[in-house]
Amino acid sequence: MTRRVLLVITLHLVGGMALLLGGNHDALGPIVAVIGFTLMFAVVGFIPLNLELRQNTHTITITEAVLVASVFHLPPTGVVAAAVTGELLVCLATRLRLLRLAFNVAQTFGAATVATLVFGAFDPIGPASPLGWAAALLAAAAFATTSMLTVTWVLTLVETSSFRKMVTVAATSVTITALASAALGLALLILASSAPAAPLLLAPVVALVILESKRVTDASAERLRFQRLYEASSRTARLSRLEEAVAVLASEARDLLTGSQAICCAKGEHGRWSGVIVDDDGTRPLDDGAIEALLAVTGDTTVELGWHQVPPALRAACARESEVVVAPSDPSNSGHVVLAVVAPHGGEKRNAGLAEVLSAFAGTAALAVSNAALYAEVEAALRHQIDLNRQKAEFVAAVSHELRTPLASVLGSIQTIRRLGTRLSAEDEEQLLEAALGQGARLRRLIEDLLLVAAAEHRTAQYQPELVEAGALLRAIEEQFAAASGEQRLAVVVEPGVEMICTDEDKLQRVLTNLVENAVKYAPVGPIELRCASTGTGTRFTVTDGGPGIPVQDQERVFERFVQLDQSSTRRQGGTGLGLHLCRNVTALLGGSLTVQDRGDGLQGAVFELTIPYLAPTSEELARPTPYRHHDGVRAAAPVVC
Amino acid sequence: MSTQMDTTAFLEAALSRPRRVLVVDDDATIRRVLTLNFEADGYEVSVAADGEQATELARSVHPDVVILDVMMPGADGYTVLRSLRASPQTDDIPVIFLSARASDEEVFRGWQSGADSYVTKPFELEEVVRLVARICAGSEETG
Repeated sequence: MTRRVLLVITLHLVGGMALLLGGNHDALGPIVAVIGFTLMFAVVGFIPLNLELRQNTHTITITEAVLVASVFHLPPTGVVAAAVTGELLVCLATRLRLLRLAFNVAQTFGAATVATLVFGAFDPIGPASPLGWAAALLAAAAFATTSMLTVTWVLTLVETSSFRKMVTVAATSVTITALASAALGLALLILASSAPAAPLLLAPVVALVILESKRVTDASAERLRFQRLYEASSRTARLSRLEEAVAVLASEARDLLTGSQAICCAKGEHGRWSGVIVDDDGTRPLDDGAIEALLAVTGDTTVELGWHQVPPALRAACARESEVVVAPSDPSNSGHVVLAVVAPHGGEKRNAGLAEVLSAFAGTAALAVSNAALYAEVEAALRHQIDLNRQKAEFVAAVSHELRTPLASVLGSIQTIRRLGTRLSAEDEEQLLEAALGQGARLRRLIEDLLLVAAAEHRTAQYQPELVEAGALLRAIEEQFAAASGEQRLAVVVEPGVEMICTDEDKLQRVLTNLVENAVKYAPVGPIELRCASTGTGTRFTVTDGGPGIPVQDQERVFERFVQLDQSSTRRQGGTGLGLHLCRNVTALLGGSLTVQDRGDGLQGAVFELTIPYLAPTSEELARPTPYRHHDGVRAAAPVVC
Repeated sequence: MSTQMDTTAFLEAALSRPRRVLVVDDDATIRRVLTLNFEADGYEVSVAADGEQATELARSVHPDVVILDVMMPGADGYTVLRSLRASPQTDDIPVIFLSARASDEEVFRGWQSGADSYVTKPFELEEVVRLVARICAGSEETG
């Protein structure tokens, strides 16, 4: 882009030179007049006039008035010299960047040359004659048109908008400039020719026009700012993702202040800041060091930082020799955002309203960020709810199945006894009654489990602490198991140093029995070890089996309700499918922890580790909800489904 | 065809050859209950505790009806049904699903799968007995 602008500049200088030299003019004219007109060109360069027509603001300059005056008094070379030097003075005074300065000077050079050539073609005697008027008007028109076309050309390059559209917009300005400025110039010349001080009579009128123009400029600038702010705000209202929102906000802030770069930092989840920087190369994340540096220089209000005030960590991210406007949003609001726009240093006169605009936009940005956060939160909550609903449906189906299976056996046995009556042998009848009783007991056990799980989840389960001797409890379980199964697979080991625990014995026994039954179910052969040892603050029980073990990814999942890695085993083993979930919940009630892992050391099997503290948990600790882990990592209170 | 002739045909068929029922369930009590009742009614009863055994027995015994549990270890009821339908030896054997899966979707799926009937557990014993008798009579008529 810069290269193309340089091309335009060169074209102007070379073209202007060629035209001037071709005209064979060598004299500058009276040196005093040249200096005088140079100063006049410089002065009018500082006072752009703005005119509002049908909501459009047209910037007109009275440079053409000076031009008209000068062409009657100076030879073309003098006019061009005065115009170019005047423009140079203006540019130096406003500290324009070099490229911009070069462009302005070249453009003035080209335009002034064209104007003098047009004027020279008429060669009028004086400003009072109609030919003089025509020459003056056409010269002014040529100057304005050349300037306009050049500026439009460059703007087309810079802003990549349609040349034709921009010419249409600028045409009115050019016409007004040519007519008004040239007429003013002529009027001054005619007045001066009759009485040298007469032009002063016009001074009050011109002053009034200038003042009015200033008001119009301010008003239109403010309106434009609000319009752009409004447009930017309306574009950011529907952002639903935080990353997207931050990027769009930075881009909007950059456009709003016509900066070269812009940064948007937003406080996300857990108070963590994240930020992006936007420039011509696109959007990229801002590193943490730069974010910290930016936050460090951010106060409660908007600040404008000169290059020397920009912290080093931030400088690395910014274009060199630039100024940074930093605007924070109100930190008391839910979304907290810091916007920073980087503008080239020493550029065109900074509009005092820019900081205010950025500050106002920071408020909108905070709202957009907080909306995005809210949206994300609602979405996560919805997903969680859908997940819960699915789990609930699965749970109901599983409970229904688990209740129906033993009930079918109970009812089937009894119906058979009644239907067949005496046709049934005494032995068969006894067998059926036994089966019905067994299945009835299974049903009762399932219902008890369901109620206990529900109570544990609700934290309404009765908790009756008493002193428990772990060794005795383990031996009781061993005896019970041997009596029920007729097998000697369970080995109990009590390590020395195990002390009395103050806990609910019934519930602890329930958990341990469940763990042992679980081991029997999933490891149909081989010894099962039930061991207890002291941890210093409590007792650790371990149940070790030689079964297939549990894959690492499922080691947390097995504690969920009705999760069975091998669906069929419940039926085969007569389990309820609630066992481990119940163990986990009852353990939480006892203030302990329950986990499972592989045996390690290359041995096949699973180790369930249950730790129970020596002291009973306080009622406060019990009231705390158990964290309920989900597949997606969202933590929530345990759902109520029973 | 009149009812009189139906009954006659059924009785004749029943007298000439005992009907064969294959009971497939992994639950021993259910197997026992169904066996006792069908044997008392004069059927020949074969039992299978899993899907693989069921498919084998269906080939060798060629029962008049299969009472098939859905949830079983290994091959489940649907797998057994598919393998029965896939083989020309067994594709004409009527199948009654007997399942504790009782939701509308499951029942619909059961009927969709090509089973002749879907009975949910807990079942009414008389209903199952009548259903089997009707299917046996029907197959005699068409066969």
